[in-house]
Amino acid sequence: MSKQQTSANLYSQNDLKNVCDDHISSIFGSEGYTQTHTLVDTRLALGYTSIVISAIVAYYDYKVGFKNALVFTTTGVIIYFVLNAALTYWLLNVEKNCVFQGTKGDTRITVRSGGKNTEPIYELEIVLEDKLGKNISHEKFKLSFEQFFDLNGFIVFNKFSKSVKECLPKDKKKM
Amino acid sequence: MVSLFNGMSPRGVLAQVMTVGLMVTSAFMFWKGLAVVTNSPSPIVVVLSGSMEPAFQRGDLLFLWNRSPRVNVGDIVVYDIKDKAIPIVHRVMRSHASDRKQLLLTKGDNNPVDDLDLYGYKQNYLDREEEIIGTVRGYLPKIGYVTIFLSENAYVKKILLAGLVVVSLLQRE
Repeated sequence: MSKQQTSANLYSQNDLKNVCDDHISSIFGSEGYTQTHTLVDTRLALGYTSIVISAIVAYYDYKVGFKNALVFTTTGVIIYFVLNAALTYWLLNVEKNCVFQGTKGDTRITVRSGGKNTEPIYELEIVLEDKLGKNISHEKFKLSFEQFFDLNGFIVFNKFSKSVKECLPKDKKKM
Repeated sequence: MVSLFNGMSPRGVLAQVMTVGLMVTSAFMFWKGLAVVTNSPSPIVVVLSGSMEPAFQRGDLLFLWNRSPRVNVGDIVVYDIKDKAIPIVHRVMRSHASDRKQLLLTKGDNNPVDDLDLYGYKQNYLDREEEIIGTVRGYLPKIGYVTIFLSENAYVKKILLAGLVVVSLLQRE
């Protein structure tokens, strides 16, 4: 089932990738994986906390003036940039373009997507781990956008879903 | 065709809005950080008048530093008097300092008289602690015309800002 409302620009790898990313969760959902949002939620928490801190700093500085707010502002600025550094670290080293994370029984799946904007290729990285975090499988796939986008820039969900499901390790699917 | 939040999940929308929020707040916090480091509430100012010509012209961008406890005669300072709208960039002509306080008289290089008329009612001097925003330590010529243009044409500023926000909401990285 496609969630796409408007057509994607077929000349924009970024556009096509975003549409694919938006449809990943329903595919793995139908494969029986329960989605966990820990990664995104942590990112959102880091980001929105720093936005709130910034708003408080702005308000307090406006209210009592620069000199009276100096200690408060200094603390706020330091916390803000520490949180920003943490957010950058999280994006680059932990989340790493994760588009889906979920569990089925004792198996945990992490799906990451990527691609170069000069190539019409959707890169998928699928990591399966057991309960203890030990790797069951870790594979990378390259899917061609032309396999599942129509001429008008709409995704053909059935074809996309089929291509993605073929990437799942066969024996693990029976689990 | 473009559309806002085309088929995105609620978390996706939150993330997109967050990106815009971080863009705005990081600029603001960078400014505040600079203010904290220089100890000046307004560490970068734009020259608005020709009163300091030939040293500074309208549109020059000035970088201020406000960590020295005393300013020297000859320094170019920026001061902000309560109830007066705009900070002024002028040179220090006289200084009377004690351990506790420093009082200053300023004048624009290009003005025929000193600044007494620019100070508050019955005010005969500037207080270094209270009114000096900073000493000029560096400048970039002409760049400030961008902000002069924007503040003199308030609608352009609003349109530009709204445009930036809309574009960054539409664009997913």
